[in-house]
Amino acid sequence: MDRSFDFAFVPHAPLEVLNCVADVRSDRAELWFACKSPIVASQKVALALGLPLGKVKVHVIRAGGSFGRRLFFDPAIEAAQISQAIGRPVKLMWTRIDDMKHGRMRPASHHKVRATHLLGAMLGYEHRMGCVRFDGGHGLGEILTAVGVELTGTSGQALFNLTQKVPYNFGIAAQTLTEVSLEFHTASWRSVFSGQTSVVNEIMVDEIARSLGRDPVDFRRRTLSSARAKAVLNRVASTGNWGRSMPAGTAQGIAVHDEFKSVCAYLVEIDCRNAANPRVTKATAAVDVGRAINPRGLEAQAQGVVLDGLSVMLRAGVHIDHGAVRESSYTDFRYGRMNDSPLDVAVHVMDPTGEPGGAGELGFPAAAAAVANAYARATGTLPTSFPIAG
Amino acid sequence: MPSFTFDLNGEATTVDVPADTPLLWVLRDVLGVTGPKYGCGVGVCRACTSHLDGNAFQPCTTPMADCAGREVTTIEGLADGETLHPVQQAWIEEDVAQCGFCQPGQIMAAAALLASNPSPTDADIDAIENVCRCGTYCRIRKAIHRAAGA
Repeated sequence: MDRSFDFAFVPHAPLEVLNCVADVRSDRAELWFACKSPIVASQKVALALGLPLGKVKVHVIRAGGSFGRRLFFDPAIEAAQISQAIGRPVKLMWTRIDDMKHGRMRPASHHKVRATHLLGAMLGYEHRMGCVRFDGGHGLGEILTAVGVELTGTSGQALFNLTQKVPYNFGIAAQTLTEVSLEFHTASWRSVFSGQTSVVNEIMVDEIARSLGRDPVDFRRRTLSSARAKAVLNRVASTGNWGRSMPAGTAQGIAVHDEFKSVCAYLVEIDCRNAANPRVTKATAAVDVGRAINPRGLEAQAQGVVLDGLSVMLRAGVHIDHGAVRESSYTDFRYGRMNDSPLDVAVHVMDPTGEPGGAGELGFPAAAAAVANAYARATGTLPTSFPIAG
Repeated sequence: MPSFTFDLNGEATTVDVPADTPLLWVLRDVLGVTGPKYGCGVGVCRACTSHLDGNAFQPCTTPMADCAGREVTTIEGLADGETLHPVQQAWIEEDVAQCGFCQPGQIMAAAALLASNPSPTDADIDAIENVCRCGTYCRIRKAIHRAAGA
């Protein structure tokens, strides 16, 4: 079986725009801004200003969620350069349009997958991802790895090879990444590569099951390689009432994701009877993060990714027209709102299975894939280009 | 520069600004009232949602001149002294906020909805267009129903 898939660029669109206050003097600088990598930020600002590395002080302040965007600190360098040029403290705020048209984005990608099966058994699974070069220019948060990344351009390959896996007994499995340098401003976006690779894999699991005449849950039960993954799958299948009778044009979809020493499953229901505006009507999640430290916070993370999943898969992406971003604000970048969201997202936190794993980026791939799988089952059409709305 | 007087959170307030200055920047930059947030500047993200004479509105697209002589309430003026508004209390009980940036606008939108419609249906709540990038919508919905029942 050969299938291919495409994902559009997706901006982070942090509701709080990028901003920074900078006070640059002749021998030192002080900056106030929200940042996930303040050490390399202070070092890069020092380089931009021609100051010694130890003479830039960064005050990290609270800010609205950025979903990966504030790993980079572009506005800090801009504010510092402006303050240096005019000799006064500067408060810089990007506009929403700056952010949407000139900000960073999840790299657009193309995926080719070949799944080989014989007599009902999987023999091999090959997934090749091509994407616009992923920028990890912040390194591991300090200047040495940041320079290493810049010199070698290998942050994407390293991260891909460290994180990507196929959590199924699919015979010989291989996944590769090929990056194309288009000088595009990219960055990590919630779940990074898994937000595309794992989503594709979970859509393919449904496709393989369909070609074998197998139920998607039953097929996963037989092929998932870990007991923890099977446990979360079984939990959403039972509590979400998998296989219940539903009207034509509506359907359930299911998906699993295994990463960060954690595992989760999502079961969503979608209503596609209004073809122009499909709506996710219900979602059930089961999360095993090893040990939940803050269950209400974990539940919030597991709920929030449903909004990300339905937005990115159904209607939110940007278009590039003659080299420029078409979208400019939340009017045309159609991220989900209240009337797109399921009335409830039930989250089941599994009993402790070990030491704490990750939670914030865990759910997005499974939530997104479950939306796509539900859409495919509701409409009888395999979606291959995301967002589905075009 | 023209002078404008309006009621801000129960206090008569006078500012000297150009007539077409969006109220959001009068509030944030002139008066230091930062509960209303900038997220788009064109009235679509609704992070600045506040009340004008009791109705929800977007200060980012409302010129100062249109607010002269009227009552403006921001999130800072919603509570009754130390007593939280029922919507604020419901927000705490449902632990709604994630990053929190959109939440002042969400709370002001919910309070305005409940003032005009004390028992909103899910379809009524769907009409709230405020953007939440963290995806707290299901908890916002629960909090509005909780506040309606309070």
